[in-house]
Amino acid sequence: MKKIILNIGYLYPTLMNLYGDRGNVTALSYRASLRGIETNVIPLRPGDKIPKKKIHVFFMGGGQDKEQTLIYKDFINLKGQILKDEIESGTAFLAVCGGYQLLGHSYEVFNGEKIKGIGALDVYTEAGKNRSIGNILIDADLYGKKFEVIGFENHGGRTFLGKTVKPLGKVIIGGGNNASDGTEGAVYKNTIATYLHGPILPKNPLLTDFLIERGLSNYNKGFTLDSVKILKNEKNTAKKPVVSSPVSSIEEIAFSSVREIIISEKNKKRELFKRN
Amino acid sequence: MFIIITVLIGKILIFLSRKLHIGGGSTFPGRVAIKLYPQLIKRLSRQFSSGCVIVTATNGKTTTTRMIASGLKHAGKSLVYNISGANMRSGIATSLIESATLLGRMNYDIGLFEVDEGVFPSLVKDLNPRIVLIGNFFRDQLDRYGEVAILASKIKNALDTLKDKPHLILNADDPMVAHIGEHGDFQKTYFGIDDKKLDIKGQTTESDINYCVVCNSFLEYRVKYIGHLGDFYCPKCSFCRPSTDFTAKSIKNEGFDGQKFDLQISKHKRILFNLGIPGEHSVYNTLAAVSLLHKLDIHPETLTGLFAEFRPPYGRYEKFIIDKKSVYMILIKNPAGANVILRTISRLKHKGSFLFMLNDLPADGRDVSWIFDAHFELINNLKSAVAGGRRAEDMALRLVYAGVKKNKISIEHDYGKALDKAINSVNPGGKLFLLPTYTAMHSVRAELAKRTSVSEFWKD
Repeated sequence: MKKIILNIGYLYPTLMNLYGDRGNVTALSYRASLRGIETNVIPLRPGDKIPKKKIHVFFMGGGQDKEQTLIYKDFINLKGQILKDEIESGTAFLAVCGGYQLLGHSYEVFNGEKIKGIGALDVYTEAGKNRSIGNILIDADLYGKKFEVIGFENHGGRTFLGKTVKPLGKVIIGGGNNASDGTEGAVYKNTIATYLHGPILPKNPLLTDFLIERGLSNYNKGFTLDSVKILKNEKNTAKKPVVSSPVSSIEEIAFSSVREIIISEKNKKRELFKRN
Repeated sequence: MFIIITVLIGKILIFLSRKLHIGGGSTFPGRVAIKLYPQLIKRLSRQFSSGCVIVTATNGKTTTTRMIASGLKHAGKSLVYNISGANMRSGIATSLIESATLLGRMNYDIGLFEVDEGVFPSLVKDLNPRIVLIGNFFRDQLDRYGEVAILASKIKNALDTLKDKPHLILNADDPMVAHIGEHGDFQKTYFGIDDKKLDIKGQTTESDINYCVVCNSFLEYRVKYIGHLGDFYCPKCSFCRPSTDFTAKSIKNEGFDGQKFDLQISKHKRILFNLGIPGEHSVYNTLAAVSLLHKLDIHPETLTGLFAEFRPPYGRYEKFIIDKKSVYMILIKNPAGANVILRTISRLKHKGSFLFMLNDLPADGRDVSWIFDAHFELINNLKSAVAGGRRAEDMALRLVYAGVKKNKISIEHDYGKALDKAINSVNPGGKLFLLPTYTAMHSVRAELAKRTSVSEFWKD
């Protein structure tokens, strides 16, 4: 069988690297390797040109304000148009937090100054008064596939969606895009943009698999993950489990334990609210 | 008059909270006292005959402070210092109250305070220090402290506005710390490492500060030791690592129980230091302590024996012997701190057994994402691992993603059971590395206390 290679374009790995978001790249590599897919992580630093028609999945995280101003010019002038074309042509893309905002039409920084994004996604971001910080649980709907997604959000921006994008999901617990309309994230073609850290992919493997599958099928029509057999490694988890739960994968175990924490915290708050 | 009443109330609260085992009594009495009398810290701290000394850093401040304290005591100085990492306003107030006389007098030479980097800007005015030591700035609990660059500039601004300029003791290898000494009317001492064989350049992608603080260009490094600490220079402007007054050279790693290095003081003067604790971060802490003590006329020659015997504060390379097995408890709280510990462990010949305890309570930081910035890949050939704490499953997942085989990992939420399980996985004579986050450390220490004899923490 021909070797399959997944090229991951990692935008600004040393600058846009908040909150463990590099774990998303680790997750893509890990889930790909379970299927015998090799990964090749290509760092895209300031000054680096994006190789055309090569990258299957892009990832861009958020940065501290200072770092974000350092990459801004490079992002807009050198990479912006290419990324926009890639997104239009169906390359998979995961953008988190600051990365999400930069893909939109515009965002506001803390002092109210409006800054242009690349407009690859039909969204815009305003500065919020209060930060949304905490665990978050959403009901995702990804092209008809429904599942829960968990993460940790920490953002001041309030993002509003235009007509050509769909939200990633509905907020069950937490703030989401703007703490008002109950949506979280944005989906456009094979791009997922979200405020969720955690990092998001390790505990939400369905999203990881979506990005791998869509990224590869964009260049190999008809490619599905089901067509590549899962290596023994993963099947074996049933026999020698890390915990008492015999059937789940490690991602599912982590997902359900954190989900439980999020829900029990919410219930506790509700209790307190009732008593007061 | 106010001060006498406040001190008295504070002392009563310290007594009661310890008697009744409420919070160890190291912060709560001070919190109440400051409410009653906001000038308390100012009034008490101005009375030291040789003034106050402040130590701040993201990582290593508790250990460094303890080293300085042992040096001062050794030299016969009387001092007041905040123990067990009670480094916010309330903790400092408590230690002052505890040492004051009933009439609100401080009959001590020196006040030595470890200060949380977040409260530093407001506290420095009250303490009016004679010397300020800044060890490093790393990213730590962004939900609590905010961004590193902003934190550093707040500290610099606070120092610039002081009327009596303190002497600064600065880590030359940390660009953001070194920069604090660049401008302003400060006397300063720089310390740093100079040992090319410890270079980690190319082995790591993590870096908190990789741009020039002056002109925003990307910094280059000749050598890197920990995170962004190293021999840096800006290719565009003149900003670079300042030359050092105290330099560690020829560092020789001697397993997990120690290391030695040469302390270079001047061109012709070198002193051999033996340390009972491993890792380059311990070298930095020692350099910081030696530099500061030198400023107080305590010379490095007099410290070699003392520091060879130095035992770190609790939870920092704290060693317990249980069933003839060595348990090393090392607090992990942020990627930079965790990485240096993981790297130190990875250099050992034998595969380690581990107990990780990951909590997500406010004192730990609610967001556990940071474990993906820590290089658990460094120890992925480990012998066995138990994952514990509220977020045990997250920890297990991180280990699997780091390449640890699933059948080597088990999850156990109960602190006692997790500890027993981990200890059982070690052969007699072997080592267990117990790496908890802050609140998990307190809980697991109680379990350790049941299995061995350790003191309760305020007794230090």
